[in-house]
Amino acid sequence: MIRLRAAVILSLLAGSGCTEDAITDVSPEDAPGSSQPTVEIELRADDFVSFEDTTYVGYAIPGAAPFTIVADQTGLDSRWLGRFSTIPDSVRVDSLQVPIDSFVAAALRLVVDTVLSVLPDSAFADPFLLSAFSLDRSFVEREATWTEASAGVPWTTPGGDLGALLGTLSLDTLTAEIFPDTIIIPLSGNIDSLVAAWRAAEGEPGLALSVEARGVVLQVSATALLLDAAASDTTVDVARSPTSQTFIFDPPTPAVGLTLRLGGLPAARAYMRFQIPESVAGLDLRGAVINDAVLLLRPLGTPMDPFALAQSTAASAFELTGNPLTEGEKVPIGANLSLGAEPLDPDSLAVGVSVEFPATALIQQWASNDTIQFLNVGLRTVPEGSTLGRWEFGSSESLPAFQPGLRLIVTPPTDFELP
Amino acid sequence: MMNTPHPLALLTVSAFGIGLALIGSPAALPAQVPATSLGLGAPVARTDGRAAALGGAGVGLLGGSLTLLSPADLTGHTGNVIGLSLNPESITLVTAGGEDQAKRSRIGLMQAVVPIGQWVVGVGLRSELDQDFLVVFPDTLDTSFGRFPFEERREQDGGVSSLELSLARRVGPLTVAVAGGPIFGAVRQVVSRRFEVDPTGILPTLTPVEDFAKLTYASSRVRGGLSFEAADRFRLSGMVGWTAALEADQQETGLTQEYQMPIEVAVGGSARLSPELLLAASGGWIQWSRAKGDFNSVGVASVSWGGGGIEWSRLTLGSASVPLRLGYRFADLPFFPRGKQQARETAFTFGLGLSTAGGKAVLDLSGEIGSRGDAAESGFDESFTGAAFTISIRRP
Repeated sequence: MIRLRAAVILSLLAGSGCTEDAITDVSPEDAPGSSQPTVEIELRADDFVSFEDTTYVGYAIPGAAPFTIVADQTGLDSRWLGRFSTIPDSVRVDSLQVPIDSFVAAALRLVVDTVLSVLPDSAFADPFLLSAFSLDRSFVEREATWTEASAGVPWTTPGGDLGALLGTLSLDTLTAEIFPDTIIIPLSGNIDSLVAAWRAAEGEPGLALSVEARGVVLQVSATALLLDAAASDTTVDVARSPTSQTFIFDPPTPAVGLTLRLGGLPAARAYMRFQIPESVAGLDLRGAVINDAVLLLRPLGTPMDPFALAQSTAASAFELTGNPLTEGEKVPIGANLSLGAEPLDPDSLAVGVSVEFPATALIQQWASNDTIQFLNVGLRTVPEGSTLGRWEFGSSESLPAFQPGLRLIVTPPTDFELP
Repeated sequence: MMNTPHPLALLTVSAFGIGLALIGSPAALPAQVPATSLGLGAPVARTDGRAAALGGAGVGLLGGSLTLLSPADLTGHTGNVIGLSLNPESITLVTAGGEDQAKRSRIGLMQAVVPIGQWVVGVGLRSELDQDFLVVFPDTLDTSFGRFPFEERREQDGGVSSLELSLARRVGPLTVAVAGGPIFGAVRQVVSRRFEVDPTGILPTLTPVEDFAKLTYASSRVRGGLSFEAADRFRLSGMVGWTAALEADQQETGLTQEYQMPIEVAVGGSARLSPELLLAASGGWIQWSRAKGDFNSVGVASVSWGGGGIEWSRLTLGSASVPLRLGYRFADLPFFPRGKQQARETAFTFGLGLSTAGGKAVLDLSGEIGSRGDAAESGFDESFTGAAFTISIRRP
């Protein structure tokens, strides 16, 4: 080592000098020195040493979704379920907290996403009735489905055990163009008795919203109970958000087959574990500079209504800290593979445009570290559970043209030659 | 101490300019490579500023030279001398698109001479082979999802040098000398590729490529020399040298290679025709063909070289003489692209000397204008302007 250092120092002193200006008018073919060409490589699942993948479902459920759906559509019936358990017994009047004497009026307020809702283009031909009912059976918002009020407890009637009609709103004169984004459904009957009962029972068993108008899907982004409370010779407005809510729908989301799925409710994630070949066609990948790497997911045909992705959303890829095939859906997740999320555009997906998830850092790590053999990656929509729609993608068991894979831009290690 | 440029310095600069204009522009030929990228590189003229201005005639040069191509010329120095030579060079390379220029500089030699009675000892460090080059060119990567323009940079920095201890003994008008020492070198090879950022942001930004390797060289050389001097009017000198095989070792890959090194012979002499006029000439032969089987990508052939010049010492500056020098030199280049012919380097040389402090500090300046190779026959074509700035401190 000392000899080498001495040689380097003396060479710097005497032999080497330096080149100050570069020669620039040289063609790549004739330029002196060594380099390796940068090449593009695409690997499909069959090209890997091993490639296993699966879809796990249930990472977001309707009860935790940021929206609810009330629908009466061919192929989709959906109802809102909720309860209000924080109804007060006193209100503040002129800076004094006074007891509520009675509730004189009540209504449900729905904030509707008119862009994502499906509404008729012209005035409703049939009556459009949006109705609120008392529920005869309590529900568990994380477990309720069209057929079960909670896990293992079926509704007497699928779609929820509807009790007394609390209020109905007819919107048959409205069209998509003038549809309001806030709908108020007045509740009728003995309001004071109804609300007092909810307060006494902490909102149990709850209420349901149902729509009767074929072809209508209301995507509701917020729900509230509006109350007029009489207290100390005055009337005070009180608003309460539901303490629990969900929506139940029929038919249920289809089960996953031999495909990879992203999105939907309950939300699905695609998990994969693969082993990249050390070299491809004589080109060493291990030790190479990975200039760019993307994980490719190839879309299959448009899913059947009503579960096709209707509006654009996004998806991201992340590292998994364990083997998703053996540790299951609860395998801990690691860092995202890139800062952003990739768009899932239904129009592009329908014509077969692959979704590309940047994975350069992950593949670079593999290429520079001989001890890494398997890579574990997960894919999910972001935000998760934001849409009932989902898309299916080819898996390692699909035809090669639809298999997931990697597209790499690679520069192999330079083969510096001796003179 | 130099506050204003000396008129002669301005003359030298003008001569450089005229020389550059005279080089002309050769017809456009297929893409070329710099000579330093071939084989073990381009041999470096192991001459100081004085010998360089005299056409490289540094063997048997009266008055002493730091060139010391022949160790027997140590006795040309009558006192202690230490000197250093800086050699900048500007190259014009004929390329497919016309011409391209590059500049480089190096410390050509460092030499110390110490007379001890009838003996003279010398220690010298000098460049032998230059492997420097830097090429930068644009290219484009075509992919299935877009085009990525990039800039590639290939750089080689380093070369082969020698450290030599020499010993000479005067015996009457004769001098017998031996010299020997290690030959060593290090070359850093770098390649980088930087991709342009897509201004639209649609295409990804590709990770740049940066790769390097380090090559080291090791060998040793012995030389013997003999000179004859007659009363400071005539000096004749000769040298025979033998170099052990050069071992190259690439650290990153563990690749090694051994290159047979040449036996070399040099002779030269100078004669003082009058107190103001000196004539000098040198020549030699280097048997590079010994290494013929050691290179895969280049051709190798033995080298002949020669040169000569005159030194006119009439001009004075104050009490100091300012010798003017003129010369011509040629040298074959040992390495050339496979399938091509060996190239020759030729140059006109000129220069002057300046001494101060009663001759205790001497500055020898030289310039040269020349060319090497021929695109059609030797596969590369360079014209060049070079200079040597040698400063030496002398103690009688």
